[in-house]
Parts: sequence; C-alpha cells; structure tokens
Amino acid sequence: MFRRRAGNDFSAEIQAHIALEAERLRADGLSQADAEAAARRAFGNPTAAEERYYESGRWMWWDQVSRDSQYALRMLRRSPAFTVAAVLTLALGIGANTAIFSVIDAALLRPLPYPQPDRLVMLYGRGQSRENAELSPATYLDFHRQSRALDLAGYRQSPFNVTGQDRPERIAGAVVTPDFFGVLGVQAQLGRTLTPDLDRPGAARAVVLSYALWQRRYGGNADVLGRQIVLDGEPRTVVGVMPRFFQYPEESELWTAARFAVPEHILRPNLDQSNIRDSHYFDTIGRLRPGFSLAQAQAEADTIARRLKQQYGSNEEADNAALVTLRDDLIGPARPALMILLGAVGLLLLIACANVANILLARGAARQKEIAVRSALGAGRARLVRQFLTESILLAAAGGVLGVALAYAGLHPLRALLPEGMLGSAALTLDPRVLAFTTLVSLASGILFGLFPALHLSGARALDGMLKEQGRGSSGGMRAHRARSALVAIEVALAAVLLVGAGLLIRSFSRLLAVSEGFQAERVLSLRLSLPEARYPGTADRARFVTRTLESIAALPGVGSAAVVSRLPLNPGNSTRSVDIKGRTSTPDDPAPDYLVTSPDYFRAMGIRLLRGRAFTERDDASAPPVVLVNQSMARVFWPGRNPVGDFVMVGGCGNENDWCQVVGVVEDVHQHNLDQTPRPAVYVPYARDPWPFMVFVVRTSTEPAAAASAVQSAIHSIDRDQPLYGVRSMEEVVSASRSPRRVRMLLLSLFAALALALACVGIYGVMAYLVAQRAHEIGIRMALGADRKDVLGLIVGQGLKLSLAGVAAGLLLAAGLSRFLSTVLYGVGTTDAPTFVGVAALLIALAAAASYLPAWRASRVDPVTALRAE
Amino acid sequence: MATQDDKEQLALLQGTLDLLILRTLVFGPQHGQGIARSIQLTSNDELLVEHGALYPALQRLEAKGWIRAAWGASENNRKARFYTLTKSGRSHLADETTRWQRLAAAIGCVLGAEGGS
Repeated sequence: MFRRRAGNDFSAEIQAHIALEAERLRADGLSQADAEAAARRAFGNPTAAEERYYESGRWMWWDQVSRDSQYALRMLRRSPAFTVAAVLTLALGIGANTAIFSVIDAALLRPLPYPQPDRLVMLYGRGQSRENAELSPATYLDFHRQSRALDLAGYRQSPFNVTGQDRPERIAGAVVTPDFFGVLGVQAQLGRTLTPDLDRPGAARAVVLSYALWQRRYGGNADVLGRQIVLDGEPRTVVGVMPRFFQYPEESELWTAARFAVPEHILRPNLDQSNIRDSHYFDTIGRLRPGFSLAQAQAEADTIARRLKQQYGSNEEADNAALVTLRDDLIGPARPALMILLGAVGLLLLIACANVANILLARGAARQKEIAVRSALGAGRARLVRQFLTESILLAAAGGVLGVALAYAGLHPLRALLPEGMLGSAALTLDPRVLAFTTLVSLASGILFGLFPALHLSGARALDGMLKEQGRGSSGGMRAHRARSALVAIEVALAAVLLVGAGLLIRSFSRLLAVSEGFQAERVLSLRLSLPEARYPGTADRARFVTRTLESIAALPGVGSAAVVSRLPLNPGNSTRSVDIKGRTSTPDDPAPDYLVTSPDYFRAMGIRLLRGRAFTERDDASAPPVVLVNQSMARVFWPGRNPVGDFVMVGGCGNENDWCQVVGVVEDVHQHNLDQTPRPAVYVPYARDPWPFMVFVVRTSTEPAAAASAVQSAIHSIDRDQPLYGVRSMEEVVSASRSPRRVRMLLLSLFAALALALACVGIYGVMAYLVAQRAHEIGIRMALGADRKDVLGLIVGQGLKLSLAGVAAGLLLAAGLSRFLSTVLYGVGTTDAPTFVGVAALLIALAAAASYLPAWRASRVDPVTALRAE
Repeated sequence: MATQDDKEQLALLQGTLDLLILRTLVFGPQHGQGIARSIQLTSNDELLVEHGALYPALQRLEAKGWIRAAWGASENNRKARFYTLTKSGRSHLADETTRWQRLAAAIGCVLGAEGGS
C-alpha cells in the first residue's frame, strides 16, 4: 500500500524534473527551446506517468477487494448450509430493524407535508390536571389578538352529512377559522382556500374539498368550483380543492368556514360563542412567526395566560398555556412504544450477530489449516482480517437484501403502531432513508460479527504450530471454545432481556383482558347517526325521531332491546360537566364527571348493571321532574359511604341548567375512554331531556350483530331515508379496537423474543455439539473406564447449563435495569414483576437443557472402542 | 516461451533500477533528475534510465521505507523533491548488493562454462 500523496505534489515534482533537465542541457550549450524540448522527450509522457502513479495506489486496493470478494464467494458457496443459516439469521435481525425503523421514520423523521413543518405548534390550555385542554372561544380570541410570536387558527373536527346528490354521505371534516390554511401554509390545488371576507352573513358559506372527496364524489371535475352542496341541510359553495397530500386534521375531507370569529359549537350552530369562557370545544393550531423560537413563543403564551387569569379570574382548564409541536401532538403516546420496539430489534440483531460470529468461529476451527498456510505464504494479520471481514460483509449484505424483503412483507400490520391520522393517506414505505439505514445496519453488523472471529482466528497462534496441530483437544481448540461459550452466554443474556420485556407486556395484556369493560359486548351492534340542525331544528323534533326509530328497531325480529347514547364506551374524547350536589360544598378539586345522554333502554341493551334504584323509563321525558343516574365512581367521590339515590344534583352546561335533578339510580362503572384508564365519575341524563343531534344507536341482537345491521339500517331509513348511517360496528369490534395498540406491541415484542430465544437455543446447541465432537476421545476413555451413559449425559448437559446459567443471571440483572423504560406501556404489573423474571429464568434454563440434551445424548452413544481407535 | 522470457527480463530490470537508485543515494540526498543523470554518468552511458519510469520506482522505494523524500532547493536554487537513503534502505542495499554480486557471479560462471566448451 502506498502512502497517500496529493496528485499535484507529484506533478510539481515532474515539472521540477523537466526544468532541471532543461537547465543541464542548456549548460551543455543547447538553446532554451531545444533544451526544454529535449528534456520533455527524455522524460516521456508526464501525464501517463501521473496516471501510472495514481492507478498504482488505486488498482492495488481494488484488486485486493475484488480478489477477496471472489475468494469469499467461493468459500461461501463451498459451505451452503453455513451460508444459508447465517444469511437467514441476519435477514431476521436486519429485517426486523428495517421494519421498525420504517415506522420510526414515518412517525418521527419524515417531515410533515407542510412548509416549515417544525414551526407548527398546537396551543393548549393546561390546568392543575397537567393535561392538554382546548381553549375557550374567548381565550382563543385573546391569544389571537395578543400574540406577537404566533399566527393562530382554530378548528373543530366535525362530521357532516352531505346531501344534495344521489346519495347521502357522512364525511369527516372541520369547521375552521379563515386563517387555518394560511397557518398550515398550504394553497388550494384548484380554486382557492377560505378568506375572511367569505364570512359575510347571508351569503352561502364556503367549503373546500379534499382531493379524495373531489375525485370520489365529484368525479374530479373542475366545474365543481362554485357548485352548491348541502352540508347538514344547509347549502354551501365549493370554492376550492386541496392538494392530494393535505388531510389535516386527521381523516378530514372537507373544510368549511366558521360562521363567526370562532368555530361554532356543534350543539348551538347558530350562536356566536366568541365571548364564552367556560366551554372548550375546538383546537388551536399556530405557526411561529419568523424570528421567534418555540421557547420565546412559550414564554409569551405564559405571559398572556397569566394576564388573562388576572383579568377574568381562574379558568381551571387553562390557567397556563402549553405549546406542543405538531409532530409531538400527532405522535403523542406512541413514541415510547416505538422506542421500546427499536431497542428490542436492536437486541435481536445483536443476538443474530453473536450467533453468526459463533458459527464463524466454529467454521474457523475447521479453517485453521488454511489460515496457517496463508500466513506462512506471507499474508500478514491485517490481510487475513480483511479477508475474513470481506466474507462477513458479503454475508451481511445478503442478509440485508433478504431482510428488506422480509420487512416489506411485514410492513402493513405495523401501521397499527401509529396513532390514527398520523400518516394521513401516506403509507409506510421503505423509502431511501430506510434503505440507507438498512445498508448502514448491515455493514455495521457485518463488521460486528466478523471482527471478533477475524481477530481471534488470525491471532498469534496462526503462525506457529497450527500446521502441526491436529484435531485432538488442544489448547487452541479450548481457546476457541471459550470464546464461543462467552458468545452464547451473551446471547442467552440478551434473549433474557427480550423475554422479560415480552413477558411484562404479555402480563399487562392479560391484566387488561381481565378488566371488566362494565358492559356486555357480545351481540351488540352500534351505528352512528346525526340529525342536521336544518331538518330537525327543535329538541322535540329530535326526541320524536329517536322515539319512533327505536320503536321500529325494537319491532325487528331478533332484536332484544335498542337505545341511543351520546357517546359509546371506549371512545377517547371529552364531554364533561361540572356538578353541584345539594347539601354539599363544592371544592376546586371536584372532578367534572363525564356527561352522557341515553334513552331508557341503554343499560339493558348494553348490559350495564343497575346497582341501586331504577333506570330511566319512558316517563322520564321533558315534562317530568328531571332525573339522573350516576355511576359507581361518581357515587364514591361525591357520596362517600352513602347512598346517592334520592339526593339532588345540578348539572352545569346542559339543558337542565339550574334544575335540581334527582338521582334515581346507580349503575356499574363503564370504561368510557380506555380500558387501561380507571373509569371516571359519570352522570347519565335521559335523552328526552337533552336530545343531542348526534347519537349512537345500540342494539342488542339475538343473532350475530353484523347480520342484523342491514335490517336496523332500513328500520332507521324507514323513518327518514335522508340520514346517512356510519360507523356500523359490533361492540366486540369496539372492544378489540381499543385493545389493538397494546396487542400489536405485545405480539411484536413476543415475536422478537421468540426469535431471540430460538437463536440462543441454536447457539447453545451449536457450542455443545462442537464440544462433544471435540471431546469424543475423552468421552470414549471415560466410558472405557466405567462411566455409564447417564454420567456422560449429566456431564454434557451440566456443561450446557453452566453456560446458560451465567447468561440467564446476567440477562435478568440487565433486564431489571432496563425494564423501567417499559413502565409507560405496562398495565397492572411492576417493572420487576417477580413471576415474569422467574418464568423467564425457568424457560431459558429448560430450553438450554433441551438444547444441550441432543448433543449429550449423542455423546452417550459414543462407542468407546471406536472413539479410542480414531486417529 | 518467448513471452515468458520477456517477462523475466523486465522483472530483472525493475529490480536492478531499485538497486541502482539506492546505490546512487549512498552519496547523499538527490532529486529525481539528479539520480537519473548520475546513473547514466557512472555507468559510462551504458545504462539509460527512462525518466518517466524512474518515478514509480522512487514511489515504490519510498513506500517500502527504504528512502525518504522532502522538498528542498537544487544547486541552482530550483525547488525539487530530494530523496534520502534511510537506515533500513542502507541495510537493504547491502543485502541486495551481496545477492546481486552472487547472482552475477553465478550467471557469469554458467555463461562462462557454456561459452568455454
């Protein structure tokens, strides 16, 4: 190898040479011109000389690489079983890493599809609960006016009934303030977005369509601009179509201008809410203005929040302001789970590398002669190491290619790891960044698993004695064996860490399965409907529609009971009301209970047990004395140790404001948000008293609920055929969807742990089998001297166990240190859950015994005579 | 057969050039042109060094650590790259000189014997 020297240094030398030669020739009497020409002639072609200089360095390098690769390929072809095993092992490790990284790439690395996406933030209020809360309309407007650091826009996600063409359709969308598109920095692809002057009273409100909706419902015709469409019974004018990528907030397909300075409330669409301070119902998105950092904007928001508190008094939910970057807001709680999985696949890859290093060492033992010959012929240690590394990098590259194929096949289910709406319409892909990551990982693992055996095999003993050394249990063999044992112990330790992680998640999930939902999900069908204000303006109209519809559903064959509720269980979201209890002084710490509106049969249809008192009846209508039901948690918090039935409560912000309502019963707690959250206090109000325009029908059937779905739909359409039904799901689906993120995480981690376990077992088996082969002679002697088969079995299995015990002990210690990173995704188990740790230890030891049993059994079949005669 | 002979001849020449360069540098540091000139003069113009071929040889010797190079000024105050014999270069030269002399003597013997009969 030539030392590197700059090319221009070399050409300077040539120039100096020619000049010196010309000088000499001139001294001999030639003219200047002749001397220079002669000097050049004598030198030959300087460019050619330079090229020769360049290439000598480069070609030598390339030549060696290509020779190494050819040799490596030949070696790999010669032992196909080894090659296939190594490539498959690596493909599993690299594939798992690629797949998980593609999710991380999509969630955390790929830029959001807006200009300068890092400057987009969500503005929330934050009270004592430290939870992000929406701003009230008046607070939003105060921030909008006072902030120097932020451009702000408000939006409320809302489904719309789109009619006016052949079929009614339910479409997710948002009511937005006009600056919404400006804040996100996205222009319309066709037409324009919303502008403030479109907010003229009297004129039809403007609506902007998503690309997908435009294609699907309006055939992608440009003449859609200016067309009138009917949203919730009210005509609107289409003014623009957004680009294909634009889908914010999640799933939205149309955006309509707010009627007032803030989005209107869904229950009071005709009321200007601009001065309301105690209701929070829409989100605020902002963009940092040029020159302001997130920290500056946060400081300013704090100042504004403090000023507002002084001016208007405490506003519980929003005494403080919190800025959250849009990305953090979107990814939310999925981030720790992703990091855990990334850690898990990292460990899996390490195990795969240890396993391949192990096979390489075993193979190296067989290649010692070849190594000795090569070094005797003058290959230096560096040269040998390079040869081995070429082989391992080739293996890793093959594993990488196969791994990418594996990752591609497994990509689809991984979407469940991300919150809905995180990706929009974009899919998980193996984009160039993911592929670059894979290349890097493959290369790194090639070096990782190749370097140790390479250094080991090319070590000091390569030169002396190896030629002489023949198979018998010599010191060199023992040295390799120790290295391999260490590798296997490391594998077992890493597998133990993964198993503990998987075990903790499995235990969490089984705890979650044991949680009672609070209702009976079997054979319950749910479907959504919302009644447009324009068609059903009065509460009495809505109440009548619901009563008639429920009657016609209940008349269907196979239907046990039917009801409506304002919000289904297991649906994250907020609808809370503050309550006052007659004869009890409220404290600021009182929780605001969940507020649910139900028709009388809801508890029967859903299978929610009534614990005290009575449920609602048909007689609890708008004209009757107002009544409520409370759940167990509410009873516990507000009436500790007492029976609430008969007491009176006042429920704020609903149709019964300023009425004392009598508590007529207590029902079982229902998991209204999530199975892993303790149920919150809840108060139920009869539907007839507060007929919400949007509702969920709940129908208990005597057959498979899906089979009843179309009959129920036609029963509803027989009352009003213009109302689109959506979200038709059985309650079992709802329950399973609510468990889905945990299930996916648990299954993935279990899969990785199982792979790790399998690899570790193969490792143990390999080392023990090799050991038995090495010690066949010794075993023969032992048996000739009277050791029976049981002794030999015990000897070998004991060795295998000793090896894995060290690994298990180290692994459990490591796991105890690492498992605290799991705490955010565990449910109902501690991070040092004893049964998990004991179980993992038992499992590993049992499998280690099993993996060494086969070689041991083979050893016990050794025929002493043959063994002694060999060699 | 003929081509094989050519190759051997070339290889021999290459080795010889290395030896001659090392030998020239025994008298002190010298630049490339000086080395070429000096070989030509001391061999009574029998040996003509192709200047272009000189540099790869110098490069090779430098890489092997037998010579060292540094920029300096020629007698006419022109910037040139001067090569110096290293210690290991000196001992290599001694070995190679012995080898060369033995080889030359042996070849001489064989050729002489053949010529005599």
